[in-house]
Amino acid sequence: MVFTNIHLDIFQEMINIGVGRAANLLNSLSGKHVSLSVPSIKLFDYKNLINELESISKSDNLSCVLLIFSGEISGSSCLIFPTEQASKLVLAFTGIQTDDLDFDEIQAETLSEIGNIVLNSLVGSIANNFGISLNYSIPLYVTGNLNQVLSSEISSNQNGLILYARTHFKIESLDIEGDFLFLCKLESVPFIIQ
Amino acid sequence: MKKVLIVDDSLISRRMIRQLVSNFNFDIEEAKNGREALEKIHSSNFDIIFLDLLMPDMDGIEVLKNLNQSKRTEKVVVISADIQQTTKARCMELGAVAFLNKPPKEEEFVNVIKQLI
Repeated sequence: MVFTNIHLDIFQEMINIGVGRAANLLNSLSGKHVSLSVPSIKLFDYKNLINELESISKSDNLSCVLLIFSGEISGSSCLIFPTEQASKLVLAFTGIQTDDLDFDEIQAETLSEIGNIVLNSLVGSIANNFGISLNYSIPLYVTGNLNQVLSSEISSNQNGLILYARTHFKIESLDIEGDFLFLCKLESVPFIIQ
Repeated sequence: MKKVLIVDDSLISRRMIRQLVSNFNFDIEEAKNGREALEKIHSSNFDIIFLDLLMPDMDGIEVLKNLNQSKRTEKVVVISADIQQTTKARCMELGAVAFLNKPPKEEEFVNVIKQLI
C-alpha cells in the first residue's frame, strides 16, 4: 500500500497528540512548564537517516532513553538531551543533589524511569488512537553521540524507508532542552491508518 | 497489619510507591522483578501486590498468569507506564483488581487502597 499525503497528515496528528501527552507527563514529573516545537515528520532511507541524526546534534555527550516497540508497527522512540542537563532534571524529579556518591547510578535509574513513563505515553497514545497493540522492550539508558545511542535501531533499518518524527522541547525554567524522536518502519504504517 | 509487596525494577518507582503506601499502616516488602516477587509471594501471605509490567527476568504479565493459575487470593494493583487500553484489558482479564498509570496520582492511589482494605 502506498503511503500518501493523507496518511502523513493523519500520522502527524497522532504524533502531535502523543507528544502532547508525553510533554504533559514531563511537566508533572519535573513540576515545570514544557514548551514544544511543531513536530517534523519525514521519510528517510538508511543513509539519509544518519545524515539527519548528525544534523540534530554533533555532541558526543548526549543522554538518551530508548524504548523499542514491535507489533503491528515496529520501531523505537527516544528521549534525548545533553548529559550535562540531565542532572537538573534528576534534581527536579528526586530532590537529590549532584554531590551524592552514587549520583551516576541514581541519574541513570531516574532518567530511565522518566523516559519509560514519557515514551510509553507517546507510543501508547499512538497505539490507542490507531486501535493497535504493541509490545515494548525494557527501556535502555545510553550515552554518547546520536549514532552511538541509536546504533541498534539504525542498523536494523538498513533496508526500506523509515518514518521519522522529531519534536524539540524546552523546560525553560530548568534550562533544559531536548528532543522526542519516533522512528518506525514505513511498510506497515498505511495499513494501521486504513 | 496488612502486608503489601511492591514489585518494580526501578528504584525510583519503588520509592515513589513506598511513599504513597506509607500513608497507611502497612508492612511493606519490595521485589525487583517478577521472579523475586513470585518467590516472596509463594513463601508469604501478602494482602496487596503493586505490580509493574515491564521488568527484566520475568515481567508482570507472567506474574499475573502464575497467580491466576495457582489461584492465589492476593489483590494485584498494576502500576505501569503502559497506557495501552489493550494492556489494561489483558491485566484485568488475568485477575488484576486495578490498573494505574505511572506516575500514580495520590488521590487515585488512595481511593484504590481504600477499596481494597
